[in-house]
Formats: sequence, structure tokens, C-alpha cells
Amino acid sequence: MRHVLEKGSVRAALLALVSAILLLTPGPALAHHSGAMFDSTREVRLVGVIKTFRWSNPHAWIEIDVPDSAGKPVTWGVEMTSPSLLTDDGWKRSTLRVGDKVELLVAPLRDGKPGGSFLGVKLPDGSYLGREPKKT
Amino acid sequence: MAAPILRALMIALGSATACALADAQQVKPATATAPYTKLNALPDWGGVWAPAFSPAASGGGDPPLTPEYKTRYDAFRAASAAGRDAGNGRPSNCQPPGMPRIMLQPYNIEFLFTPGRVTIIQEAYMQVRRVFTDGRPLPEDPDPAFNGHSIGHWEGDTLVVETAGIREDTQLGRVGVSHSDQLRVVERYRLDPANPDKLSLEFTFTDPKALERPWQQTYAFVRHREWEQIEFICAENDRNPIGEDGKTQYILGDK
Repeated sequence: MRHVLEKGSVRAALLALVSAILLLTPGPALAHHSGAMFDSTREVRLVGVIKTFRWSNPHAWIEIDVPDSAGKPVTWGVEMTSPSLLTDDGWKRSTLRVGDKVELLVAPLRDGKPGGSFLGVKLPDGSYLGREPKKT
Repeated sequence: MAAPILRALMIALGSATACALADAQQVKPATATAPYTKLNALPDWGGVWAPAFSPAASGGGDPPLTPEYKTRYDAFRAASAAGRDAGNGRPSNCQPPGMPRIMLQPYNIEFLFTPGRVTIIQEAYMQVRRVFTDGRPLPEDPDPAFNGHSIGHWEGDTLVVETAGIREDTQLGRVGVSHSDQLRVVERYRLDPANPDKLSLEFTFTDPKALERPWQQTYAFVRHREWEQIEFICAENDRNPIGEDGKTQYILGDK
């Protein structure tokens, strides 16, 4: 665990790093694997209920139940970076809890399956981490 | 009655001690006898070092690849530009990157100094590099390894590390750049004289098969004394195996 977070400098450094990675590899920045499976040109806003939040390596993971057009819940799998990098960005293992109603912004899978790469979340208290999911 | 048993015991103990001494004499003496007090002469590299670099701005320009290796690199870049999965060069996403990209992960590193050795720990995948600074030569004909085999020495406050025996399936300082089994990597680490919380790493890559001439890149790290590395077990939640088609898979659902 990091005892003290110097968020500003770390975030600036990470942003620089992420920008650099984006220059070299298409799609969301992931050190672990290519981002080619995600469509980085699209953003999908998911409004739903947290089913699972895994604070794990190599990727933290969110499962969120989102109603489809018929109102039937569909579970989306959302890949994040890792606990180390998320900690630098203000996350904790308790940031999301099962049953939380949240809004997520993701870069969706190219193959149309209900999954994507994490871009941002609006938490139940109205604050957000990463990019703010906005209604479009 | 007791004396013969005692004598036998003494003989057995004596042989054991003699064997242990003989073994000890075969250990390379530099590591075994270098005093810890000598470490006081080394610079303070305590804390952990976070990357503060961009591969695009690392200097050195494009790698001076030979035609064969340039063809490979161009094919990789074309696939990436087209949004195709270029495979990351790894048969599994939990496979570590190896040298030299172990030093270029978006995770921090730390250095441990002990007599005759520098140990480098990379937070990502909790990888360890052992750099022997006890004067031994590089091994002859070593088995290729992800991180290769490293020796080092100090030139003043600069740590110079030489690495050979690196597996051919690792990539050079830029994603997609491959190399041969003849790759040699020299790393020069030193604190910025103007800012002791900044560490620079200068790579020199030499490879008679893959590079027309040596290729240099420079990266920087920023010190965080208050940080500790955290655990990183890749198998914990690996949902991204690479399939038979070379593409990264994405496993949804319970795991």
C-alpha cells in the first residue's frame, strides 16, 4: 500500500505515460496486452448495478448489470488497469460495492459482446473517477 | 562403552565439517567476503522509482534495424495501425516482457544493494533481476532467459549493467522491435546531479544481426520514498489468454 499519495504529480506522470502509450498502440492504454479488442473510437455509457468488483491483477474487474432495451439485465464485464495504477488514481478496493448504482463509461469490445475497457465511473455520491460519464 | 560411539560421532562430524569447508572454498569469494560496510560508499537509491518517461520521447530516433528486422517491425506497425491485434509478442498475456522492457513497464522499480550484487525489483509481475557486481564475467553460453544474465560495476556513482543471454522473443525498447540471440544490453543508471530524486537510465543495444549500429535510448524515473511496492500475481484474474489465432481473448462472466 502507498501511505501517501501525491496525486497531482503521479496523475500528470501517468497521463504523460498513457499519452505516450497511445501514440504507440491503438486502443485504451494497457501494459498487459494489446488494446486491439476494444473499439477506442466509441464510448458506451452503462447505467446499472454493480454485481462484482474484483481488486485483482493483472486487471481489476467490474461486472455490472445493465438493463437491455427489453428491461432484462445483461451483465457487462469491464476491464480496468491494476490495483497499483488505480491506487495512484484515487481508487481503493472498497470504492465500489456490490449493489451500488453507478454510471460507467467504457470503450466497448469490437466483437459486440457485453464488455469493454474502463474509462470512467460516476459513483453513488455523485463524484467520479477517471472520465466523467455524460449523457449524450 | 561410550568412547567408541563418541569417537565415531567425532569422525562423522569431522568429515561433515571438512566437506562443508571444501564446499565453502568453491564459492566465489568476492560475494562471500565483501563487507557490508563497503555499501556505505554507494549512492542513496532508496525508495521506489516511478517511471516518468515516454517511449516516444526516449531519444535515439527509430531503431537502425537491418532489412530483415525492419520488415518484421513494419509488419507489426501495419497491424497495429489497422487496429489488428499484433500479439504483443507474447504467447500469453501473463508472460513477463523480459529484458529490456521489464525496465519500461508503467510500474515502479526498486534497487537493493548487497555485497557483490544489485537486485532490481519490478512491481509488475514482481519480477527480480540479479546483477552481480562481484567481478565475475558473464556466463559463457547461458540458457536464454527472459531477463538474460547480468553483471555490473560502479563507475563513480553510475551503475553500469551488461546483459546477454536474452530470449529472442522479448522486444527492444519499443513495442514491436525484435532482436536476435546476439543482443547485448548495456544500462547506465545515475542520479541527476541537479535532482537526486530523478534517476536516468541510458540503454545501449548492440545486436549484429538486428541492428546496423548500436541504438541508444534514455529514460527517467522519479523517486517516491514513501511508497512500497504492492503484490502483483498475474494469474489472479487473467482473463486475457491469447488464442490460436494470436489474438488476445477476453473472457466474460464468472471467474
